[in-house]
Amino acid sequence: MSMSDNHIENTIGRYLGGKMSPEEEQSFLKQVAESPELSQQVEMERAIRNAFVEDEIIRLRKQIQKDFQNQKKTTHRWKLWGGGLGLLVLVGVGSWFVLNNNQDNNSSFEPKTKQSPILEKYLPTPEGSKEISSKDGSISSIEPLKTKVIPTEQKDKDIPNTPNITSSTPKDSQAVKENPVLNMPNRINEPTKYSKTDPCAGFNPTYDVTSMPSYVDANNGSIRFRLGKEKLEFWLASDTAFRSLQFSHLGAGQYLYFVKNKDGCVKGPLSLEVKTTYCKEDHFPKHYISQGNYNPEIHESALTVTVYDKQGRTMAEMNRAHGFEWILSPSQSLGLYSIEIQYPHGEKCQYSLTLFE
Amino acid sequence: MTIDEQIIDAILKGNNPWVLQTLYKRSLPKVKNLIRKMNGTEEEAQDVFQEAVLILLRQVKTGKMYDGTEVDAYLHRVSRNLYLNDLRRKNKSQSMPNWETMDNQIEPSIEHHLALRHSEQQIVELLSLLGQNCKDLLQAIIMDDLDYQEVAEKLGYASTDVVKSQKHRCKKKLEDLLLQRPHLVQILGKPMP
Repeated sequence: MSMSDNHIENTIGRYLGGKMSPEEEQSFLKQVAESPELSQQVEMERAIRNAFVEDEIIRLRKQIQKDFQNQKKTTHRWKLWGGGLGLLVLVGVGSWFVLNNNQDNNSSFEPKTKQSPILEKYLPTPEGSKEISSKDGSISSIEPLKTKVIPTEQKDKDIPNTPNITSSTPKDSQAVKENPVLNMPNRINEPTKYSKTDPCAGFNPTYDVTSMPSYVDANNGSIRFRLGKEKLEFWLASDTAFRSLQFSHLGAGQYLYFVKNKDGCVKGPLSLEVKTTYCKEDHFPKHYISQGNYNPEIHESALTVTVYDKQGRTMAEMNRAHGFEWILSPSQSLGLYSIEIQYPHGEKCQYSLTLFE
Repeated sequence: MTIDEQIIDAILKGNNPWVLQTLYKRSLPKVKNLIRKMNGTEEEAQDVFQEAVLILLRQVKTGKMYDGTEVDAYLHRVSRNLYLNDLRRKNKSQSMPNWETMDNQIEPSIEHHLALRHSEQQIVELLSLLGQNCKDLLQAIIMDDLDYQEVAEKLGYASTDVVKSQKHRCKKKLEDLLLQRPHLVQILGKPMP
């Protein structure tokens, strides 16, 4: 490779690596435009570089695919564990109900046979009762302590004070019937507890809702909820699965929404309108400021621009005649503001604005 | 240094594991949210995110990303366009509202990306024909911007002269392989949009 070749290669390398000054680049591009040979060399050099970029991209694609597969496997594993756990809980709860119903049946119809020893093993030993063992040492039944369970003298007389019950008898069932734990009432029929768990009891949600208008011929309106003290969920009628405090890309029109509290009470459908407007600007979601100056790009037909802080206080007023520039004072912090733009025909558009360095 | 600058810097330095972890945490949920709003599935969101990250990487590596670019905003725009493109390709565009239009600034990068994706297999073949040693050597010089001394130390060459001559030989080989594949020269050799 000659010196000249080396020089050309280095020059092309500096050009492709973005290491040239604008003047140098301009001069080099002029040479390229005039020399087909140099143009071909640049193309080949770029092809070589890009082949390596593509090689990296191919490797990265494989890595991302692998990461997503691993994530899927992990999620699947958790789902299996969750499913297994759910099944276990279901079996447990089911057993509890079966046992409970058995006890209820025992008390209502007087049992014909004694509880299965296997089931008995899993019955809870109530507080204020004692286990009665048979001669072989296994637990044969549970006897309530009559002083705790039977409060009246009349009942005291009805319950025979026979400590060793080894077979299913009316006496045995009576003991079970009076047991405070085994004969626990069904929660659903317990009026006081039920009213406490009513998810809608006293549910009057407090929140603010605002709708930002959409421009003409564009779906760029939004609905925004601001929570009060309560944690609430909101969704639009069109998408029950998506819950958020903000819904964007909305066209003008009437929207139905639902609100749900943490106990599961749902209110709705409630109605809200997203209006249309003739706003011409893009959104102002975030803006860098440099050296405390904010220079928004405002449509040429705008007349005035007003910036408000979160409390609605006017922070800056700018007009076309004096230019749209806001020099932040030391007391004006970076963060969230709202910006209002007024157009010649009296239309006003408001956007949220975040300033940061 | 802002997080966006850190991401771009990490891409340039080839710290891809950090870049991916950061983007999974920071940008993936937003892309998922976007695709869900456009009635897309979780898998579609992952596909779109993957391609958007790759486009970002290419733009940064080829010097097309300006300082001060917001990575999240860029990924959002690219993802949206990719998904719309995908819907059009699948003839599902009727299901999209008519306001969903493509972002003209982003579209050329996406078209270029899709064209390169079609050539992926040929690029893999090209570099495999080049051989691992040549590939490592050229990669160190061109992509990692190492000088001959650093390459000699990293790849275990006896001297910088050996590196220099090997570089010349490997580059010539790659040029010959590319000349046999003019369509690759055409697609890889044109400036990135």
